[in-house]
Amino acid sequence: MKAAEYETKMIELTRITDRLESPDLSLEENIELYNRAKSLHEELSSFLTDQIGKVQLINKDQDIKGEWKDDIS
Amino acid sequence: MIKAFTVSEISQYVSHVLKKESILANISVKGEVSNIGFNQGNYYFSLKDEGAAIRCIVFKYSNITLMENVKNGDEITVTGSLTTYLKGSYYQINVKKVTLEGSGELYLKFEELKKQLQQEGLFNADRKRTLPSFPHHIAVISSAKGAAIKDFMKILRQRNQWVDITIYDVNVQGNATVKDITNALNKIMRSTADLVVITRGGGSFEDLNAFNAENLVRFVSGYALPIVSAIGHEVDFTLLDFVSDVRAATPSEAAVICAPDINEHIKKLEEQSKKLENILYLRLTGELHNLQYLKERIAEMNPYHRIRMKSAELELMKVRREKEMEKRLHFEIKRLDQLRLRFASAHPKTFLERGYAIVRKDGHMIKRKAEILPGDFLNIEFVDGDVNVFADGQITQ
Repeated sequence: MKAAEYETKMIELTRITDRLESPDLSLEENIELYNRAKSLHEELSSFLTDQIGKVQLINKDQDIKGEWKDDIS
Repeated sequence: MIKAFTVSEISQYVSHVLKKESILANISVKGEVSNIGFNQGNYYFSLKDEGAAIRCIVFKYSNITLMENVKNGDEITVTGSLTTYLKGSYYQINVKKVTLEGSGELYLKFEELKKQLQQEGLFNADRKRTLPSFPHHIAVISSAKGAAIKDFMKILRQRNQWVDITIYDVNVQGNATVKDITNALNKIMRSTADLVVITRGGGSFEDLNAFNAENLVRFVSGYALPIVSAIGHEVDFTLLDFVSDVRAATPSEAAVICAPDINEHIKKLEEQSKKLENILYLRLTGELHNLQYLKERIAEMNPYHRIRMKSAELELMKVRREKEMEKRLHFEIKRLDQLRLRFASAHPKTFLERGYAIVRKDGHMIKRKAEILPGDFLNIEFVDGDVNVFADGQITQ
């Protein structure tokens, strides 16, 4: 998932949650939306927790030097 | 005996001597500005060096606009005439011209360029781009060995383990700075980065001056990606700060501005999940209540249930009736017993037992003595039997 997708899905999740609060929803629609919301929630949670960002260092000559360490001296 | 002057006389005399010295009518003096003040359009300050200080005055009519930028500590050269101030008996330079030296001159150029770029609209708010709320790849242009990148990375990783970072190691001071930064910016354009941060730690005005370079500022103004600048400390402003889309006061603040706090997002998701569970729970509970209500209503409508209900009602009525009957029977029995007792107490035998006797004539009970005539055959009944007797001839009245 890309960051832009995250935002789109987050908006969809918020919209579904709002819709779920509507009193005119049938039980069938309710369960359908709930399942969609749960699936979105799982996708978004794993998106946030599973990925670890890379840190690269590029020197003045624009060649990749490698991982950046904060104890570099 | 030496003649004593008045204060005014000696003060005027010194003034006269100084005026005669033509060299003092047009002098240039270089020094550091101190005790600068402004009053009624005139500037007052001292010029000093390690050994001495001299008072200076810039009159309003001199129209030296540069004085607006002069501050304590600036190195300047003033040109003017040495005059005396009679009331205080001190001398001062009546300044006609001011030239900034060192950082002062750089600052003047900075102000001029700032004004020019401002007029061209490079710093306009409508040119500022919105930063991505969820960047996936941040390019950081900084010295890889500086404190700024460490501060930036420390705060960024506390908030966000997720985002990819590429650090472009550049000179952040000196002649190579502008070239390094523009090279890095060009390279970034060919990468997947969606946000750029240019940062360095604090320094003097001269140290940070590379970030005021006109070609750098113009390059950044036309750059495709949003740029966050965090140059120096909170009080330091460079032209790069003005042209960037967002200026952060410090590298740490830049980290906060650039990357969303993932923990907050996770917390928000958890809240959303709880809300979802709650909504579904309420909905299902409501449906269960409805079902229960319908079930109870259906049960009420069941004919077998109604028959059972009626049977139960009948049974209850039967029990009630039986109880009433029983109660009534007991009452009647009791009443009969009472009557029996009353009858028993009224039985003739009861009287016989008490010593009375019944007299009969021809089978009829005699109630009055007038009913007996002499010679009548009478039967007298006692409790233990009866006897027959004749009434004698004499009836006593």
